[in-house]
Amino acid sequence: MLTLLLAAALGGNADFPGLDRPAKGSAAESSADALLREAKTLRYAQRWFEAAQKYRNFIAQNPNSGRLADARFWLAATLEQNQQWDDATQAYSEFLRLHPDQRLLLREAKLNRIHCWGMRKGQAADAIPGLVAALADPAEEVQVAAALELAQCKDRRSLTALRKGLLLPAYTDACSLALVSMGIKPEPAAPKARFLIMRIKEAGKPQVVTIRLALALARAVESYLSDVQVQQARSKGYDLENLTDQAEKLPKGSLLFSVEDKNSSVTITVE
Amino acid sequence: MKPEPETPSLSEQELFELLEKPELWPEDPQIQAQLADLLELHLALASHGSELQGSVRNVRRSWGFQSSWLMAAAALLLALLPALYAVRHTHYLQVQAQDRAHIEAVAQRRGQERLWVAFFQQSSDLLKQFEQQPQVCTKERENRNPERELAVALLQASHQLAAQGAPNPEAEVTRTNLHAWLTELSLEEGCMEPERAAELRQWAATHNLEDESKRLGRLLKGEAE
Repeated sequence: MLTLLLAAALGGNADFPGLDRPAKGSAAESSADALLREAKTLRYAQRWFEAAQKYRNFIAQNPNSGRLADARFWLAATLEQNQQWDDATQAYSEFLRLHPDQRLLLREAKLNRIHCWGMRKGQAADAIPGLVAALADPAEEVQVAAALELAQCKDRRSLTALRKGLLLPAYTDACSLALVSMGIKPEPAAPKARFLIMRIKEAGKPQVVTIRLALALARAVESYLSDVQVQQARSKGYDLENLTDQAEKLPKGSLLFSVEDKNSSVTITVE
Repeated sequence: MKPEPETPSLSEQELFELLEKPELWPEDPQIQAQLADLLELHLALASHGSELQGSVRNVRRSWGFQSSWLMAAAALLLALLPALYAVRHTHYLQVQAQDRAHIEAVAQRRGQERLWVAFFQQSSDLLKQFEQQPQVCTKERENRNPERELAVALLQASHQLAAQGAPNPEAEVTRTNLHAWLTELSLEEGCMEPERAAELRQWAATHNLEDESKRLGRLLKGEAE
């Protein structure tokens, strides 16, 4: 115990599980440290079952350790890696219940638990209720991750969070694709008044297909273009990542750009 | 679920104005059908204009003789036209719907694959960067802040990809391995002990993460392995 306290004082930090090795200057590893180190080595070697056993031993033998949070998190992560989805879900839930103050690990634990539930959709009784409950999580990222999982089984309870996700830059693409897969036009919760109109003429077909995209989702244009067309747009000076900004400056009715390859020609205007 | 808002019906003038601007056509299928009908009629009249003119001249020359026959033909035409337009219009809408569904499906698959490709390519770049000697924070610590920040962003991307589903099982296995590595790095301090950095490098090398990421990035991009 004294060694543990010393290690913590010299540099051990429960927020940084990478530091679950003896602090510099400590004379010898305590048996608890050794156990955690062994568990990590086994985990790195992908010997999941043995690693999980070591973490369980550590938790059982050191009920008052300051590194219990790390051990519980990595136990859950190890079970997840070993595809023991139900055990991992349970372990993450236990971590979240017992260590709600672990800021760095909390987000990861919630998102990983959503992944585990996602893998067990339609098989484990608590998977869908767990995902639905996560839609009410205070963190938007967690809501959106749960919504993306629910969207895979066309669960319409995910719609609100998916629309919210359209406004989170990191999740725009994923939410947009999820909404399209559910047959819903991806428009943010607070739709913008302006649109991009894409006119796509496929080779060998007489008709032109018109697709309308909210200006806020202009990034999705890239998905409608082939690699050759993406290159053409870039060589014309259009940054497809920031198309919204470029389109916003243009007056209504103006041509943004047009590109073509052997399979189709695409013209994009701002409306 | 809220009910869809009702689209107000449009006057004939508004409908004719909209005919010239298909990009402004409202989403309401009834109004779209009305507009398509008008368009069909407009196109049909335009293409048969010269014939009709000729017919009118002939009618003038032999009006008395053929009037009853012409009346019957006109009545028949009037009866048949709407049916013909309905058939053509339905076919037109079906083809449009098929084309749109095809384009949407291709865009969805392409968008998803590009996200995976970007994830593997950026992970591969990060692993390569992590192999190189960084600047130092203090005498005994490496400055791994840039790599750590990239790892945080890639970890977020990995969560998204996990929720979307993988294009193939191999990609999912590599994503899972990368996810574990990225988790370790993102939970580290930016100023890292050299031993810890070496440990993470060793782990990545043992599981061949960089080559696997590069290979899958290329594979999904459609390049030869």
